[in-house]
This record gives sequence, C-alpha cells and structure tokens, in this order.
Amino acid sequence: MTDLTDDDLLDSFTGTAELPADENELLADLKEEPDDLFDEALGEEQNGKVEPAKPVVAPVVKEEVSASATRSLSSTNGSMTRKSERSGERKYCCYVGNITWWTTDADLRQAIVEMDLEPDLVDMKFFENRTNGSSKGYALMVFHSEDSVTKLTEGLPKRTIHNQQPMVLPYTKQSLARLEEASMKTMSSDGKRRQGGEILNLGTIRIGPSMNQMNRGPTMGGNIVPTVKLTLPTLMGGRPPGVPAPQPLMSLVTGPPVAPPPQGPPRPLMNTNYQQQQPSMPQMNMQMQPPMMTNTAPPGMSAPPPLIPNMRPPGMQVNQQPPGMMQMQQMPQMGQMGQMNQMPPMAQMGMQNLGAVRIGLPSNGPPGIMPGAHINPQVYPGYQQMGMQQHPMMQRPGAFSEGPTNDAEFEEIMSRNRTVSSSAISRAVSDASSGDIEGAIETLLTAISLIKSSKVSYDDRCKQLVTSLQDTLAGIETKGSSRLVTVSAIVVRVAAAGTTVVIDSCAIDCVVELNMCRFLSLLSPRPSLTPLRRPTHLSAS
Amino acid sequence: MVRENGWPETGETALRSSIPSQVAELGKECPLRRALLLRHVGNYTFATKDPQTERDTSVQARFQRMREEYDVVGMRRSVEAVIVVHEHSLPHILLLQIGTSFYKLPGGELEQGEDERKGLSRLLDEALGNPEGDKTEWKIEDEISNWWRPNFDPPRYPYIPAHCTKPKEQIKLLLVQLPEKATFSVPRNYKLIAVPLYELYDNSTCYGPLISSLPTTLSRFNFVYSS
Repeated sequence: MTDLTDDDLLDSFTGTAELPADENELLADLKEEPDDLFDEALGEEQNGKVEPAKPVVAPVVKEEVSASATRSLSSTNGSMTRKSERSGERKYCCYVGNITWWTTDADLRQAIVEMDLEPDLVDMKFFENRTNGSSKGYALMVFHSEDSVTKLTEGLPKRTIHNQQPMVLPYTKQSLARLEEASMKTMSSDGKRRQGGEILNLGTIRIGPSMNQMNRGPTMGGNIVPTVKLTLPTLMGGRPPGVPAPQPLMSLVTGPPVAPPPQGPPRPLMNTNYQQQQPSMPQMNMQMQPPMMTNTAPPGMSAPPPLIPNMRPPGMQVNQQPPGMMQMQQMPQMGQMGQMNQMPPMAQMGMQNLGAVRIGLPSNGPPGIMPGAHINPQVYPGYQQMGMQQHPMMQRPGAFSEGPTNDAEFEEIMSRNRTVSSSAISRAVSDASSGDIEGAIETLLTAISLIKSSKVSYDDRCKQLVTSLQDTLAGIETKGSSRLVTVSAIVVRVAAAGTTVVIDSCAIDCVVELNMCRFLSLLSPRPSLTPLRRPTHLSAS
Repeated sequence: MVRENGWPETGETALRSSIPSQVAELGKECPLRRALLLRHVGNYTFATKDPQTERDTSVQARFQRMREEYDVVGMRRSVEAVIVVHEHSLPHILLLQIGTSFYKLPGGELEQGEDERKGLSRLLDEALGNPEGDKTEWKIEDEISNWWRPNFDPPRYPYIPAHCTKPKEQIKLLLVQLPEKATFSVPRNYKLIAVPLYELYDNSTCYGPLISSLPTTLSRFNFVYSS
C-alpha cells in the first residue's frame, strides 16, 4: 500500500487508539461493520449486546470486556458451553498469557489435553486486535472447577508452547491490565525496532547535506548549519490525549501483527498539511524529539512543508494562528534550540500539524543560513524580509541587532500594531458611514501615530499598516457620495493585504447597500474577515 | 530448536493452506491475464417485487443462530455476487442498499453441502430474479476473494488470523457475468444501485472493508466495455 490517504491513516489507528469503555458500544457503533448497520437499516431495534462471550459466561466476561478497549474475544468451544449453560454451573476462569501471536486454540487445547484437564474445559477465548484480528498474546480459559484452574496454573508454565513459557494469571482486573500492557509493549517495541534503520525521505525539505548528520548527532552542536528537525505528526488518528509526544512512535508502528506500512503514514499527512499551509501560515509546531531519537528515521514523522511564507506578501502574518498555537511566545531565542518540549500539550490537543523547520543559528545573527534554506518566519521573523526578497542571506543585520532583541517580543508588538490598525479602520469606517467624519479621522490619526512610534515601525509590515490607515483616512476625507464606495474599496484592499479586518454590522450594512456583497464573499474564505454581528441578510462569510 | 539459517523451528503449521476448505491444485496453469466483457448499465431494466425479509431479526439473533448452526454443521459458508457493469468507462458494482446507509452484495448462506456456483445462482434468483418471467442466466466463472469470520462477531478479515484454526464463517466472493440484456426484480425493501469503483475505493467507513476493497481485487481483470 503505497498510496495511503488520511483515511487510511485514521482507520489503521482507530483500533488501537480509541478506548470506548464498553465493548458492546464498540461493536454497536462500528460503522465499518455492515452487519450492524444492516439491522439499523432494517429499522430493527439494535440490541447493542452483541455478545462475544457465551451467554453463560457473559456476566463474568462483561466486566473484563468493559475494562479493555480494543478487544474482541474469540470463542472456540460452542457446544460445551451451551450444555453447561443449561446446567447453570459456576465457571472458573483464568488468563493465559505470554503466548506468541501465532499460538492457536489447537495448541492450547493440546496442552490441556496433555494435562488431563480437557473434560473440564468450558471455553477459551483469545484476545485480539480489532483492526486486524491478530491475537494479542493472551487468552481466557474457562473451566468447570476451580481445581482445574489450580492445576493449570501449576502445570502450564512448566510447558513450552512455540518455545515460550505460558503464564497463567488469575481472573482479575489487574491481570487483565498487565496483559494488555504487555501486549502494547510488544507492539510498540516491535515498532521501534522496525524504525531503526529506515531513512525517511519525505519529499519536501532538503536543507543541504548537513541534514543527515545534524539529525543524528547531538542537537544544536552550535553549528551554523541549518538543521532540519523533523517533527512528529501529532498522532495520526487521534491517539488519546496524555500520550507524551516523544513517544508517538508507539502508536504508529505496532508489531508484526498490526503494522501499517511505515512510510505510508507520514506522506498523506504531509500532503494535507501542505494544503493547509498553502493558504495560511506555517504552523509552528516545534515538536522536538529528544536528542537521542534519530529523527529522520522513525516513520510517522513528516517533513515540514516548505515554508511558503517566504513567497508571500509580508502582510500575511502570524495573526492567523490557529487556536492553541501560542508557542510563539515560548520560542526560545536563537541558539536555544534545546527546549522545545512544549509539544506534548500540542500533541495532546490532537493537532494535526506537523512541521516546522528549525534552523540552527548562532545568536548573533543569521549568517550561516545556506542559500535556498527555508526559514520559518515565525521563528526568525527578521527573515521575513529576506524571504520576500528571495534571499536568505542576511541583508538587514540591523533588523536583528537593534530593535527588540526577542523575536517573541517583536511579534507581539507587530500583532498589537495590527490589531490597532484593523480596529481603527473598522471603527473609522463605521463612524464615517454613520456620519461622524471627524471621529473617524481622529481614530485613524491616532492609530497611525501609535504604529509609527512603536518599536517595530521600521518593519515593512508596519509600514503597510500605516499605508492602509492613511488610505482609509484619505477616503474618509473625501466627502461625497463616493465615500461609501471608497470605504468599501479600502476595506477590500486592507483585507487583501492580509490584515485582520473586523467589520461591525454598520459597516456591513453600508457595504451591502452598495451591493458590495461580492467583495465580502471574496474576502470570506480568508479567515481574516469576521463580521461581528452577522446581519441576517448576509449570506457570505 | 533453531534451524540452520537462524529461524526458530516452529513445528507443524496449524493449517495446511490459507483456504482450508479447498483442495489446493498446485501447479495448475492459469492464464496471466483475464479479460471479461462488461455490459453497459443501460442494457438492464429493473422491476420490483415483494420484500425479501432477513432471516434474523436482530444482530444478537443472527449470532445466536450462527452459534447453533456451528455446533451442528460447522463453519458457515456464504457466497456473495460481484456483478459488474460499466458506464463512463468505469466499472460499476451492483449493490443492494437497505435504508440509507447500509450496502451489501447480493448473496447469502449456502446450504450444507451445496455447490458454490449453484448456490449463488439460487441466491441471485431469490434476490434479483423475476418471479414470473424469464430466468436470468448467471455466469459464474471467477472466484474473486475469500473472507473469514474468526469469531461469532462482526469482524471479518481476508485471512484466517494466525491463532485461529476454526473460523466460524467463510464468505466467498464470486464474479458474476450478465447476459446481454436482462430484467432484475428488486425486492421492495432494497434499492439496487450501481456504484462506480472510485466511490468504493478506500471508503471503508461507508461500505465496510469487504466492499471497499473490491476495486483493488478487481483490478486484475481487463474489463472490456461493450457498447
């Protein structure tokens, strides 16, 4: 399977990731199983109690069933149980663990026959992975008498089945938990082993020959060579929160029984990210692997998408961070690449984004950026300008040495300015439309001066904010019937420049009056336009 | 207990072949390629007939009956028909739709000892045959895939899991070729739809693993689109 898609990805992990508390629920709302849908479609009352166990053992088995998530039980001994069901005997259960996944029901039965316990055996059920039906390596044995259970506990571990010594555990929740854990571990350790030798070739980012060596060596050797820190996809397919980010490999590649192709999963994810990122800004997912992990290797990591922002007009900015990505503030200074451990919370938010390019730079500026390097403008916003000029080399050393020493501060001020300008514009527009020209002019002038006096006023983005404010001002000053047209044209222009424009309902009304709906609909796909109070007649946005 | 090349000795295999119920004719020659003639969907007319009720009234009842029969007869054998037509240069598979969201292939359970092809013909007559009128000739020449149900549970897999020696049900998919023209009588409680392959591909959420994997399974055939 070389061309997996997101759906595949999700599907293959649904089994191990989801934890419905009740096996019956799991069975009942399995969309993938036509059998269940079948009954729904017939309009039958769906009896959610699809019992994997025999009716007689059901009360006994159900407890454990609800305790474990992705199990299904296989029953091999139909007739015996039915007979005993009628007699209503008590059943005695125990778990048999530490068996290989290819140990069959016949193998266990053979062992039981050899121990002369066969007549007493009621049933045995294997615990399986729902996704692919393979055994988890343990089974439940049900006997008529406790004596048999004791004999099994003593006798079975003395034998070997497929060169492994089976373990007999009592029928308790703790046993079940232990066995589940053991099966998870087997799966994950197999996965990790598998990843060891693979080189990921995920297509997009190639930053020079140093990539391999940097990724394997210690982090931030202080070199000037840009490093690609591949980041982990946040759990493909919704791993339950709480799984720490550096460990997601466990969920991705589970052992021989459950093994999605290693190369497959990252790619589709990457593609979606690609699409997500093209229109919007790069996600700053600074997930950093602990240094010992060879980050290139493990499957399930997707290469960061190329940083398109380099091409984009500088106005489009970080304001459009998806909710929850506030890591900007925590962006360590250049050179401090070691601390990106904020990722676990991100991972837990189940975000699907994945990648940022982490460029290793010395703190005195970016002289080491290789030509052609894709640089995350959020990490190094100063580079934004360089990106614009298609030149990664330092062109404005001043940008770094003067001004805010901290990128985070810089961005903070920048975003504050943006907010100032957008709110000023919208305020001014609404004032103007309601007739208060002077108030509008004043608002705009204040905004302009605020931005000009800020620390980051040299930045092109600020300059553009100022320009748009001035345009608005000019438009408002020209009194006349064309005012509304001008105002709305300005709104369009401003929004096109990427600034967030918050238009309140008055302004919208004006725009609508002038049949400017089409402008709004043009704008609406962009996340920047947010009508505050959505008038009912507006269908756009 | 290790072989010369380092692999552990595992002893006898649990099952002799992957389709245990069939005799494996090793070395039998089969053509590398298989070409089949597909008819255009417009060649066929559809009528309705009385509703066909299911044998089991609920999921639980279904598995209960499965268990009971297993004790008597052993593994249940089911057959399902993959009927392919074409439109717009794409193969379409005929599915029966129940309600809004459930799809199945025409087919059903075989009786004890019944031959697969004869059994499927019988089941197709029950599902799509005309009660009075011409009997449609179903041409069944290809076995496409086998699925197994290891437990009395919904999941089915295209293989018998390693730890299972006694699956409870085997579902066999057979390719059915149609005559040039025919009328199908569809029970009123079903809708017969022709679904293009791209709609099924990778769409396990809507159609289930069995039907959604049909495009891959059918890709080995060279379907000739007759006009």
